[in-house]
Amino acid sequence: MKLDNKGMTIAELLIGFMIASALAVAITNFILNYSNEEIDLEKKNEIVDYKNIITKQIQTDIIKGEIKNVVANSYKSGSTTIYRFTLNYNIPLRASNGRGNIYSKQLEIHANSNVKSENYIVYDDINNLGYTQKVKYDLPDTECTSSDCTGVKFTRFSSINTNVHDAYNTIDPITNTNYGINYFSLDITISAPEEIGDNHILIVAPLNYRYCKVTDNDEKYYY
Amino acid sequence: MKKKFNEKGFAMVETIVSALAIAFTITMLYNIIYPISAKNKATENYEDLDTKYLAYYIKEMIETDTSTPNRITNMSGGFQSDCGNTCKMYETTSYKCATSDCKADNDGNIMYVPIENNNIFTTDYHYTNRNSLCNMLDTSKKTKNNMYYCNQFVNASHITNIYITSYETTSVPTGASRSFKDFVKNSNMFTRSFKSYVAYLPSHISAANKNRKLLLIVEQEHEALTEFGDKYYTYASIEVNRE
Repeated sequence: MKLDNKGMTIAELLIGFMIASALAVAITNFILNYSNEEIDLEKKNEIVDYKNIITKQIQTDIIKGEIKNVVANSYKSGSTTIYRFTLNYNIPLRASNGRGNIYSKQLEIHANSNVKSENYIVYDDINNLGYTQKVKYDLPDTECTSSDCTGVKFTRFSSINTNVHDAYNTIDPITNTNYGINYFSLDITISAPEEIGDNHILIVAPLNYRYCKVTDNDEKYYY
Repeated sequence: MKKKFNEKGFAMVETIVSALAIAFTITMLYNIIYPISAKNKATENYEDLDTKYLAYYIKEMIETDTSTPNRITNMSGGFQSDCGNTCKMYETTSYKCATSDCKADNDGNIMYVPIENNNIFTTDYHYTNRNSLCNMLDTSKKTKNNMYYCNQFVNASHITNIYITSYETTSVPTGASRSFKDFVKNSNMFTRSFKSYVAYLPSHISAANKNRKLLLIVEQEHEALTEFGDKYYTYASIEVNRE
């Protein structure tokens, strides 16, 4: 058999296929990694959006109502721990149509490390008639279904830290001595599976802080 | 036997050339897309909502403060050259009211003049880490004791730094040699993340009603998101109006 000058040799074919395969594997790897990162980022964005919505709802009321003090308690309902905060305001809150005269709202955080659906926040809203109604905010659904999952398997509230038991305003206007802490802080840790990690809802607000400008001639007291 | 190029079909050389061309194109695309993605990732920590609310509360404490004329109002926003790693400060020229009663003129403006000592402008040095700003606020019993509120608030919120600067970040204030952005960029006093944030800030050059506006920047520290991660910082800025 004579060697042919036409067509390809097996060596050329093999090398050509090897180069093409290597390139295909590299591109596929890149696309898969990017795709996984995009999924993680989407889940993280959902949690950040959730955090921002809750923060905005609570902080708006704190600022508009000039929060006076906070009363807290917690209790168990089965395996779920419920943290309840009653936020009391100096200025009444109203619905967008002007109705209502609300001096107090409740915030509840339901936390359960074993049951996914038992992790949510309930916060009062004011309806069009001027009355409060409970609004439930479920955590985003980011469950880790792979058998390689270690640690947190689904998004949940893993810790609630607050100073509310010490948060009361006791400034003596005559001696100007402060006997307590003049701010309210609430740190809710949201733990999520895999690469998403933890996020925090951090509310820190001065208590009983009156937002009025005072001139030198003004003798008003604010306590 | 001398190898000749084939006229029919693909030879190895053509395959290699095609593969190289595709690899080059993909590399170019990656180099273009990846920095945009990285920059987007860095801006996640800018104008964070939690930090924005903190900046809002600090702004309220400054704006409702009653010490007049107070040092925050009189800041000219001048910046000095680096003073080493031990301080985070900027230099401002001290001002006083042009009139003894510090009242506004017919146009509604309160005029200030620099304070001179033997024909040399006096300067203030203001530390801007955490409680330094709070310690400038009033403690009068007629008011809300802003200093006390501010100090407690700053400690509770994990605020690591508060900066006040002129609202227009790229203009050179009176008495200064550089703009705020320029100063931060060329200084070794600031962290890389803070420098990145300042570089990201707009110039506010064309912002309406710039008179007597200052810019307040708050840096908040956060614990690591994952077990092996590092602490990270979020930033927010807000304008402060002082009359």
